[in-house]
Amino acid sequence: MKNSFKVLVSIVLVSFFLLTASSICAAQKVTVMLDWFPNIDHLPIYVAQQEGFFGDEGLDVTILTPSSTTDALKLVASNNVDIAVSYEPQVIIGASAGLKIRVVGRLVEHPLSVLLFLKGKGITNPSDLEGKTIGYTVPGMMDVLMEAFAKINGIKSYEPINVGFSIVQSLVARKVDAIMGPYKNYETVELEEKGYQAGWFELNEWGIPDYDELVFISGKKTIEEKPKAIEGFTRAIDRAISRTRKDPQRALETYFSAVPEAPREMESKAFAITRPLYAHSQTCDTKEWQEFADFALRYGLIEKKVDVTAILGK
Amino acid sequence: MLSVSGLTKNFEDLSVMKGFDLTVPRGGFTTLIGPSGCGKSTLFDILTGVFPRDGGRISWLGEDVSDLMGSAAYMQQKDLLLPWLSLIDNALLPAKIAGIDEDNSREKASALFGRLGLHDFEKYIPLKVSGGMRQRCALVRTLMFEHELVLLDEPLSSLDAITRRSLQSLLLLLQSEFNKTILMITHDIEEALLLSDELLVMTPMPMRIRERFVLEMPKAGRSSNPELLKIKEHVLEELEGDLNATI
Amino acid sequence: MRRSNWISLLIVVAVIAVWEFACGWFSIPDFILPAPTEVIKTTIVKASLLLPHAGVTALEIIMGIVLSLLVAVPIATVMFAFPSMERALSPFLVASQAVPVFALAPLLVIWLGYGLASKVLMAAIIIFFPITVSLLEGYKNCDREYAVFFGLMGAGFWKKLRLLYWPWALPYFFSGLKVGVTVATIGAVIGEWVGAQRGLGYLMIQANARLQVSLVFAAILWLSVMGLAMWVFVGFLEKKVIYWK
Repeated sequence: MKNSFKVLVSIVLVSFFLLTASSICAAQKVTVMLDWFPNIDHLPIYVAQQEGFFGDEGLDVTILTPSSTTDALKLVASNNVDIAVSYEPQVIIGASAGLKIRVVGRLVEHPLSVLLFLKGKGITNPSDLEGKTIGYTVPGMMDVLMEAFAKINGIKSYEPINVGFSIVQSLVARKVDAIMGPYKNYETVELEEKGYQAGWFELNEWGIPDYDELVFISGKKTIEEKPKAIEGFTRAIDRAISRTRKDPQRALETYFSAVPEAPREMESKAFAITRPLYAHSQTCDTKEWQEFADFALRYGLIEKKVDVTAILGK
Repeated sequence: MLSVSGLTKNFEDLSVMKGFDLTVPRGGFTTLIGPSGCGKSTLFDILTGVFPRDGGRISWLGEDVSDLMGSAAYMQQKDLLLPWLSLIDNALLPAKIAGIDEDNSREKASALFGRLGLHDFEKYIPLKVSGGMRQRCALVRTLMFEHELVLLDEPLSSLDAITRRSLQSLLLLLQSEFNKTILMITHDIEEALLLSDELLVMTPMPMRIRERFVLEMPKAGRSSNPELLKIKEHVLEELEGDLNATI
Repeated sequence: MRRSNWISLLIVVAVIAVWEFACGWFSIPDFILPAPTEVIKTTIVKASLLLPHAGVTALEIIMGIVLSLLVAVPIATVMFAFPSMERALSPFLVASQAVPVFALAPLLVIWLGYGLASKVLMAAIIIFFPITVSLLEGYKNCDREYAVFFGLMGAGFWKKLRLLYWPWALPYFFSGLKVGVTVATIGAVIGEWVGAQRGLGYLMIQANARLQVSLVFAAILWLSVMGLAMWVFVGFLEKKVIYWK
């Protein structure tokens, strides 16, 4: 009698322990909204998910695709998604406008954006863009960046057009003469694949300072509510990026298995260009960010000065 | 009996009726005949309560009523059958609305359909049967009203002569078998003479009874009765005279 | 086949032939305008991708129609029963039609999220007007003589509504429904364009961004077929319900 009583108690205690342990260990749900349709720039996110790095941090991550180029910023600023992929210039402009967002991680640490055009249409120098139709991909950022580019390079007038996701089509159909915002690791490759000759101006070479192309942002309220989840997220990303550097082939395969609709050949080429640019650390360079913020103020991208320490760090 | 006294109705400047009186004895068959537009249909509208009257009283079985809405059966020139109901369901409509027991009514209606030669067509929808059959169905429906008083507003005038003839004898059933009190309007003098106990000839507006014929001879042999032929000629003359007077 | 059917078929074949020829002759890139053969190939090859998305959009449309009916039928009936309500509600009715649905979509997505709810509501809003108006007109169209006759039989308003006005209004209701069913598709797709994770509209945007334009056309083809199927279904239902015409 005493023996079976002991056994019963042990069973009860063990089950109780397991239940509490599992509720503590229950994965926390996190939503991440991409800035664009899933592409090779997002590879580390998919690697982190497929290799179980998010799971190791106790996170259940859902990756969301935007319907327009402005969804990510809007939804994260309104705390409707936990984390979004964004761009340094977009973060600075948003912060200046009073959006309560913070940078929580990094994905790509150098500019990818270029001013893209088709070769052989008479554009070899920024001044050739005078009076032309110039598209932009992300309203609120790329159009503003274009204005700065124009100011710096003496382009007095041009016609801006929002092309959203339709980059290659707009160029090829000659709806626009050039587009601000395509990436030098993606659309340039895409154009070549389709048999077109792509030309572009790298922003660094024409007066725009260095910046982090892709970062992770989160709403202030979300950070206050889920600090551990967000830290776990960025740790997992860091791990994924290291893994990608160590074993790029495997990382690439993992990405393709997670994103089957990605065009294999094209994105494999893009991967080669992108690989060295994934962020080496999750902490942003405060000095570089402040330089960009000051540049933004000087050239009218923003109206109010931004102190980057308020948006970087916790 | 139905009694109407001092009925007055004006449409703006037009005096349709001024102090109009009418009596229909209980169980009787009274027909109104008159020139077009003399106000006969307006009388029915007032009786049924569709239009309000400007003066006068209506009483049924000695009791004053405001109108006969809901207390008289009504049959019109248009059959007003609901196109989505079968003939028998159409006939059952008054019973259904009054909330009377379905099964009983259905048997009764079915029997009537048989009497009127519609037995095989009970389940058909109005679209699929002829005008004569539809009007017979309307007659069955009229019989399914529980009320004693029946108002007939030119019930057969949309039918061809032959169909009309066959339905006229059926109208007689209302009185002979179902003991109804009937007030009818018609344009057809012969019809009036064949069916009525009393024929009232109307004047043009303001409507009054111009002449009253009491017809006591049995209804069976009326079509060949010479006396009735004389009355018919007489009424025709009068009506023609009224017509010429208005031209 | 009747002559008119032959002509329709001929027109369709001619358009497809010209399209196919033009793509080849002018060497139009397949991500600007894919040839019909490409589109049809994609429709079949990618069927397993298109099917679940089509299912989501179909669900949004059907739920939108059901929701709309649940609101429109009572409202039209109340407007008919109480003329003062008709006067009061008419402006809103017109507004629901006049407000461009494209403007509402982003707001709905913000309030209701990226899931089904915003699309269902979009589809419902877009067909609310045709259904309500056609039902109301149907009610009003009833011959006065029948209404009077029903009164003579002792029927009050609500009995008249059930036995006379409603059956009378059914043909009008169904023509409104047929219009609604084809238009509801638009509501669902616009909702998906503005914010969704699944559905044919969502697929169209993603496919377009990836330069898979023949997939965009394939999605459009599937959407058209869905709309057509619904129209035919309502027509079939109409014939069954309205057997007396």
